[in-house]
Amino acid sequence: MKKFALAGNPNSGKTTLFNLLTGSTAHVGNWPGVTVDKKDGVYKKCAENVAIIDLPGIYSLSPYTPEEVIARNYIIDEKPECIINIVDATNLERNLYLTTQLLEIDTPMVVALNMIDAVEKAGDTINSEELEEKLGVPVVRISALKNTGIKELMDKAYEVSSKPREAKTVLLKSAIRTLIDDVKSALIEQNVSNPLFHAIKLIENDEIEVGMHKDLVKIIDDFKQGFNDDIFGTDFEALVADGRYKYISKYFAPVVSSKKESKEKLTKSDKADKVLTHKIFGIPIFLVILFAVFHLTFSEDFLFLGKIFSLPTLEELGLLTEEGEPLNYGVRVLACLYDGALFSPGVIVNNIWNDLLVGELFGWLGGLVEASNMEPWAIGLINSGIFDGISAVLSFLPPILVLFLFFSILEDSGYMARIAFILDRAFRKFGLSGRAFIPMIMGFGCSVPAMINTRTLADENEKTATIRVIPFFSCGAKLPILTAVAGAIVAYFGLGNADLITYGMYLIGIVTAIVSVLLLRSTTLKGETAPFIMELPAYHAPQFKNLMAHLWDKVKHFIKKAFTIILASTIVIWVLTHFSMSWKFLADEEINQSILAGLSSLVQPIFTPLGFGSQLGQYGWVFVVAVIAGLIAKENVIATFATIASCLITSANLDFGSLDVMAENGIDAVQAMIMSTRITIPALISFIAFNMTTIPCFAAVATAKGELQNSKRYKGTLLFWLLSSYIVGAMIYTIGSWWWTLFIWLVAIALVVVFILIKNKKINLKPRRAK
Amino acid sequence: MGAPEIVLIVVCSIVVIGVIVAAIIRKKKGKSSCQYCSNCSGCSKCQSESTKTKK
Repeated sequence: MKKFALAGNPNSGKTTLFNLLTGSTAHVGNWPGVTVDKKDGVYKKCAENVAIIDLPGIYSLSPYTPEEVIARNYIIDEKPECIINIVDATNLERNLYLTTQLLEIDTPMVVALNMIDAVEKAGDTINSEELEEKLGVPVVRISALKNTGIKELMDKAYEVSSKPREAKTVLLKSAIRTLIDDVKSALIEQNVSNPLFHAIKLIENDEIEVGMHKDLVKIIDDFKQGFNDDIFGTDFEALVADGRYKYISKYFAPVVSSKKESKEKLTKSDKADKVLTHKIFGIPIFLVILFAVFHLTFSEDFLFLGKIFSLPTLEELGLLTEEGEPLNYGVRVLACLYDGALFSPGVIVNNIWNDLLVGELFGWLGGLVEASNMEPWAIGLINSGIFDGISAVLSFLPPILVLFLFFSILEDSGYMARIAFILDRAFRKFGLSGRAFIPMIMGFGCSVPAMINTRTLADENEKTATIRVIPFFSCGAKLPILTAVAGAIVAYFGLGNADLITYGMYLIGIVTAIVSVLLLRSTTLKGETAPFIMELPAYHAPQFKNLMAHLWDKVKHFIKKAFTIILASTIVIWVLTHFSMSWKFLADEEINQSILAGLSSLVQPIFTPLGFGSQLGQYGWVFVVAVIAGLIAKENVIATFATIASCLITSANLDFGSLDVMAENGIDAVQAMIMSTRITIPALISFIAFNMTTIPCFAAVATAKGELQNSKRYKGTLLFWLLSSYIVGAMIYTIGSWWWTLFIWLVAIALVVVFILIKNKKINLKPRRAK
Repeated sequence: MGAPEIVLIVVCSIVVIGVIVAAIIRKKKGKSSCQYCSNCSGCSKCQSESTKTKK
């Protein structure tokens, strides 16, 4: 099968084009470095199927970054039948630098002039026929975003792939043209393929080329003896780059005709950036936008209208029975949208999903099982073990999807790229670069790709520090813990708002991450803060199709996880809570004699300083089990509560009132835990914080091990996660329970800071000698 | 113990053993340990390929 490689600058639209060609759901991000490695797919609309390879975004073929090495090695070694060079038409001159290098390779090539719609919208024009004539390769106008010109591009690429192309260079008019010819001739004699490309790279003193052709370095050194440029001396790399830019400026730039006024006017993106990346208001605006996202996802009083206008509840409107149930199905549907306040979109979707769909389904299935002639233990395993566990996790699918949707909108619109820029400005003086914030923000989705993205960080210490704090940015899997516990606090204690608590926990995670990185960079992981250069792409409305594709991908993965790992975990937990050490089957009320209770009780005292240890009495071991189960997958924390909740209700003889004994709802399961253990609010918050900051799931741990490569750093990372989560949990519980302990913690923190400053010689304790 | 109970035990055993075996096989093949994350841009084949590149 023929192979076509997509090559171009970051943010030129390669991955958007790749998705269109292959139908893949590869993520489209706006940050350089999102695609760290190549991806491949198949385009099926040519005369034959064609393999499409999406290379990482690169600015040149010089070997300074892993992305450049990967792209260059692929083109030279794998010899694709055609290179499709995606050029951002709104930044033609910069993008053509890479084009001039690709032209020096003996591979058929087509230039895809992307974002042509944006050029036309700005009132500019590009003479693509003239550009084609000057480049010597076909130029096709496309808009990957609007899906125009794609068929023409692929037809042209297929057409040229069958015809060999001889490389050409724009440097023939430069002062080193004779040197290029000499080196090229020498390489041809050695039967080296792509001699022109290798010749110019050798002249640039490219370290890969020099290593491969040491014998030819002499030719270049002899030439340098008698050569001296007025500006660059014998720095041939600079000379070559200058030659390229001069050529582009003189011969290619004139193909663009700009409207005069468009050059002087600020674009809409520039105007938006004046506000959104403001040096003082940038971070507060980010915090407000983040709060808005949580409000839209979790709030049960949308825009606080219920509080402002004192809206009546359904009970006050006489729409509920004496038992507090909706009068009819219509009221049931209304209850999903309103009850004394209008619910936010996330909560509405959540209520419809849980009350009208999942709740009904599992309730019906549970009824079928109860009515069967199966033995009680089998009924218990299916209903309590499997159905409760799975339904509790599935009940969080809507908030996960809604939150993910909003984050995707922020990312696809281009705003997330600005956050790294804003944070870089604020934290650079403390040793943190914006480049490190990009993988951290990715951690909001999942820790695994976030940790992999740290490959873009050149400094090993910065990379290690970033990997260590990524789990503090709560991933989607931790959302059920946050939502269930926050919802239970509001429902059981009648305190606060779920959106405020969830938002607060996310902020605690972010603050903990930043403080941790600052500590690490000041102590064990010191290093220079790398310069941060990032392209800010223009803001644009996210593509609906892309968003829906991401959501569908998320749904599939979540369902798959629920019916594999979570299902297996709930089965194991149910078995271990219903059998004693001597393998005698136990009834629900005998749960404290189970294997799991026995083992967990041994570990339970460790968590006493965090509020969910010995003080929780005979049922507190469930929290320990939840923490350990959460190491497999964080969703297991709530699944554990749900699986054990109905046993606890029986065992602890709890009066649950309106709470469903089946406890298929995660929030109800946590309420059962609260009732049976009498756990306090500070301890619950401490539990959330501990789970947010402790060792992440096994997948993330394995990824960290793979990325760190160094056994000492890996073990240090595990220790860091354990210590930081323990300290954060202990802080929250002790300060929340006894406010005056705040001063003890402040003194301890002050001592640590002073110690670090002394160690870093910022404070000199030695007495000055008298002169 | 009737037939439904036996079927239940068999199915549950298959699920648990299957998940463990699948995880072990993936680890031995050097594949990405995260098969459940939907943000695939950095994940797709990356761990196995990076292992090959580093070697």
